[in-house]
Amino acid sequence: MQLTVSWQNGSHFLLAKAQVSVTLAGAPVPPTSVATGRQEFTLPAFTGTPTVELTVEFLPDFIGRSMSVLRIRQEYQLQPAPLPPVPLRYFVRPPGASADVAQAGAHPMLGFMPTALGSGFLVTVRPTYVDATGAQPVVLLRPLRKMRTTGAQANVRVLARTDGGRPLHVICATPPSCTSAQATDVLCFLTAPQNKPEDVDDDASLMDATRIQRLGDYAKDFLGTPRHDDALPRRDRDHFSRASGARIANEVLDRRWEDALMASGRHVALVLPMPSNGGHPGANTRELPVILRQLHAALVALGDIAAPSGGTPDPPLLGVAAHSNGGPAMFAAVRAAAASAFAEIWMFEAKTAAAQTDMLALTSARLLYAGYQQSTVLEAFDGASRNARLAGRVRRLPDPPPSPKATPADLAVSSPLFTHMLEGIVTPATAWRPPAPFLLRDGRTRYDERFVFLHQLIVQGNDRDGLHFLTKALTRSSFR
Amino acid sequence: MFEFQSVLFQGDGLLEAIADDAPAPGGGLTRISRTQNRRDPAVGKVQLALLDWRPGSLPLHGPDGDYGDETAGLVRTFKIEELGVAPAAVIDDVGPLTVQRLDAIRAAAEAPPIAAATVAVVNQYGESLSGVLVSADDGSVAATDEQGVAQLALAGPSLLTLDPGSALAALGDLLDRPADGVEQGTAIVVTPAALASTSFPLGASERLDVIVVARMDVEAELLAPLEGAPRTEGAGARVTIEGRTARLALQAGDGAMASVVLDPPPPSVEAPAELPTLSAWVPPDGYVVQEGDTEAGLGERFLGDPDGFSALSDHPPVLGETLTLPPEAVPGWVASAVAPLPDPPAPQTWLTVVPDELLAVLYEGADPQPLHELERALQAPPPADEDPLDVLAARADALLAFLSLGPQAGVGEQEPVDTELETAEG
Repeated sequence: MQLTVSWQNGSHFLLAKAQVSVTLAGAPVPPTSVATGRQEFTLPAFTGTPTVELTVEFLPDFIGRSMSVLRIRQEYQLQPAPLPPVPLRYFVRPPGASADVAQAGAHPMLGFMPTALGSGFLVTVRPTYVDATGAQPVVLLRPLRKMRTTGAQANVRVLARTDGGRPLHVICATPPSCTSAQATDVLCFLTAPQNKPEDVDDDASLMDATRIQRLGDYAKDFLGTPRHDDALPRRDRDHFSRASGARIANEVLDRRWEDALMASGRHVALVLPMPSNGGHPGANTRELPVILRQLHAALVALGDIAAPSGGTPDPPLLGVAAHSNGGPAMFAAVRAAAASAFAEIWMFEAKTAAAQTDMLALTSARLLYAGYQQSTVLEAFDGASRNARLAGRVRRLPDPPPSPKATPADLAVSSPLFTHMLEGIVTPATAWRPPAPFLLRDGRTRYDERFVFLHQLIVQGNDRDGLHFLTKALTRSSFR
Repeated sequence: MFEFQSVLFQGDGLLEAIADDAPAPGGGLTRISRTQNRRDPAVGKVQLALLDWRPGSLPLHGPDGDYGDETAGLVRTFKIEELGVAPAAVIDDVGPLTVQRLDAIRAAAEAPPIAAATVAVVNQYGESLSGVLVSADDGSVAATDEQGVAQLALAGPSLLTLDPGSALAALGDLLDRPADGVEQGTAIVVTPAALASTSFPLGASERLDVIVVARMDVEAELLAPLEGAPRTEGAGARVTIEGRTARLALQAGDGAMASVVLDPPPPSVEAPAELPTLSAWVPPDGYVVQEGDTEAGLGERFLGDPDGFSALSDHPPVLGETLTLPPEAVPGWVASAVAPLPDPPAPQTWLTVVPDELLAVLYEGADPQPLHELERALQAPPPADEDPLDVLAARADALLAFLSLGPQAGVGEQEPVDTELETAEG
């Protein structure tokens, strides 16, 4: 019986060095043919229904050493000819575990085609996304490690795409409880692309130390938990710490999303596609649901997502969220995708939200409008609330919403974090009298200071009940 | 002295004497007749040889070793029909010519059968394929019979080819069948496309079993929701959906391409939605010109006409001024809702496939790239275009909701202060 193993993108530098091993009833079977993206094996004659175990591991040489970016282990049970083999179970290794966990059925990154004559079978591997976290682990995750709380932490990875499409790199944070959950859903957050410095997402992000640092900064920016302490280096302070003269660098946009994710208690993988060229190429298309399910499959392969032993993870529900300038990319994806592609669509002051109501009404998603801006939140939420087709599936954060005419003092009282942020600029809160002008970080004075706070509060903010917006959005979502 | 070829006649003294037309001991010539050597052991040999010539021709007594009337009558017939003796001249005894011809007939019957090559052709389910033309390189041609077997008389080892056209015709449509099949055993497996370029070496009396495989399935988990009904254009492909699994049944044929398209789902709105009449709505008193407003934009928003601003004001818009809106003023999106509906959604092409290429991946070790591409396409069906009726209905819902707010709602608000950060963009 012939066994052929073939994988996509075999010439990609992350997949060029593959280790494929096959055992029949525990005895190793040597390959009869080895080529780029393909290996063939001839299984010896057998009796009964022995088990064939296939292991495929990609181990590229990376900056002077070899690292594993993907390992797939699948068992097939052979049948007497001409019956085809049966994909029996596959194994994943959750982070930190000392043994593999068995999952029933076929691995989500494997295709399987038996010949009609029981004379062999062909296994196709679909390694669209692989784990590049090990590329430069010190540089890549050190910034995040420095800025994590001591509380519960997620499994964080940088996944890299191998088929040349975009996004090339995606930062994923998955709660450890997802390693034994029947269903883990996927929330994609399209952050606002930055132009200073420009966001770039290319292969060099894994090959060049400076660029790797940028990936690390990105993970830290959104997942890290900065402290409200002016004495810290600027990168470690929260956004509202008083700057010492110079303009604050872009990376000081710390949003503690990991905390929010973990506090929600939900089985949701948070994925952050790297923006590039001022947008989210690739993610802003109808491919986005496909990309998210491919990411889910990769997280299953890497052990971050697993059903209880012996089970099979349920297909994920998909959610998509965007912040500010990430909005147009998200709406482009939602418009182009199937109406039922997303279970949740979250708009954190997402640009052009108010113009999307009719389009969003045609989807089956639950909508969330978060923030305080007049056009992107208040008008948009108002329009959605009046749309009969959206009845019962529109939400708003803060919840309950403050009056549009609320003064900064009202807002400060409404939120512990507001008070905290205000204290970063004026001391103490009791000395702050709206509408007093404040010294901004760029030295100008403007009355609209509160909007600057609120802009950041969209994501990292909290309500009077103390829940971060992202936590609250997750908790009240349709995610399981 | 005549030499017998048949084993049966060899060494028989009486038959040798007859063949040599030897004199009989009692005078005359040696013969077998009713009166001479009637029950000699040679009689039974003659009877067997006669039965080789004409099986079943001794129905009464069979080869009983007695040269009676039945045997004599048969010899008479033999002489007339086989030796060409005139009926009037026939003597119903066994003479030299009769023995010699019977010996030849017997020798032919004793000889092994003429060498013939056998070719058996079945499909992957083990079912016989009839009518498949099998050709040898010496020019001989035979078609498989109802048992799927063709026999060719070959002078020696030859190269055989099977005609792809007749094989395809014999295969028929298998797309409703599963992709599994019989055990291969020692049979040669070949796809229809490979028949044209494949020769099978075969000895003159050897047997060749050929399995023509044409069906395979490709399965993939759908990574995006399926919108619409799959339909195949061209032959050789069919998609079925089971839960979240898409199964593409493929049948190789003549190398043609097939496409799977998704016909748009039926409209979710049964009857065309009608926009509510606007006469019930009292337009707002006015609109405060915002930063960025243009004549064309305001004309479009309130009158559905980019050139209609002159109905709102006699001068270009000035920031902060209040425009008086005419009774027919409506929000901009209403104008687009009442525009003619666009064409109904068109079918979306899901994937195109050449089944023969994929069979070659599975059975001939061809480059698997087409298979990888097909898997990728199968996983990601395209979404349907928006149904214009749905769009219209959604806009009607929004308009109704807007009208319910009363005249002052929705316009005249101050734009928010720009809240963008300067170094950290939106």
